[in-house]
Amino acid sequence: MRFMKVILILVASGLLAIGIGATVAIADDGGPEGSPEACVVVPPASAPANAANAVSAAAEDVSKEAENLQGDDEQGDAQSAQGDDQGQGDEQGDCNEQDDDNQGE
Amino acid sequence: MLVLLIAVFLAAPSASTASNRTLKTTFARWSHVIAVDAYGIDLSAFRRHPRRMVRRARHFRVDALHARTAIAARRPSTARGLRGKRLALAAFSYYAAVGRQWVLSGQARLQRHTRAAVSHATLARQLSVKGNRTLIAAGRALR
Repeated sequence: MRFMKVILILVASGLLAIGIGATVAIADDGGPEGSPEACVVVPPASAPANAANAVSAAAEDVSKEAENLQGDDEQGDAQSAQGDDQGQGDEQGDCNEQDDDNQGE
Repeated sequence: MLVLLIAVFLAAPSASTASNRTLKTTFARWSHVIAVDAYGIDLSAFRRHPRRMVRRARHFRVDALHARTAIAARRPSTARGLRGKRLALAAFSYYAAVGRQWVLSGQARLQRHTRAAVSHATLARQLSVKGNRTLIAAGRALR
């Protein structure tokens, strides 16, 4: 009888361990968002608001420029376009952290 | 049996939290990418560099479509998560359309078609308002 109790406790402990293991495995099953990206800076919770602000500002400036009859900065544009082709030469003040060389073009 | 039930009970909420968390992380990451792209477009427009702007607008559009694909692959487990996913997909679709209009506006500008450039830029602005509103709503749902 005592022996049966011991076996029952062992089986119960084993099942509990399996249950906890399954819980951890499922919780960590994040695909690309899993542990490999733990060292990547996670965007803040305000990312959507920042994106909305940036898109709004860009839409405003593109509209203003489209309406602007003043000529374009041909020289600067040509230089920056050339820089694009060579994979270098961001605009002054540009902190775009991504290489946007012809991606998807 | 009891232990097994406890294990299942423990696993269920963790799994749903995990799937919602991955959606939230994906959404935040792509929102950040879109913000960076938009900043570049703003800078190019401000500096009157239409070629550069067109290039960046194309990139913006491609990123918006990638964001859509990444979010579509997520499987939220709660009603709130599902709502957030639906809104996020709509927001990035709007942004893809905004990117397209920016490309057309820049190209028209390069060809000195001012009226067409203005028309595309105006359409982009209208779409961006809708996209921004939807993105904020998605962020609220996924908070």
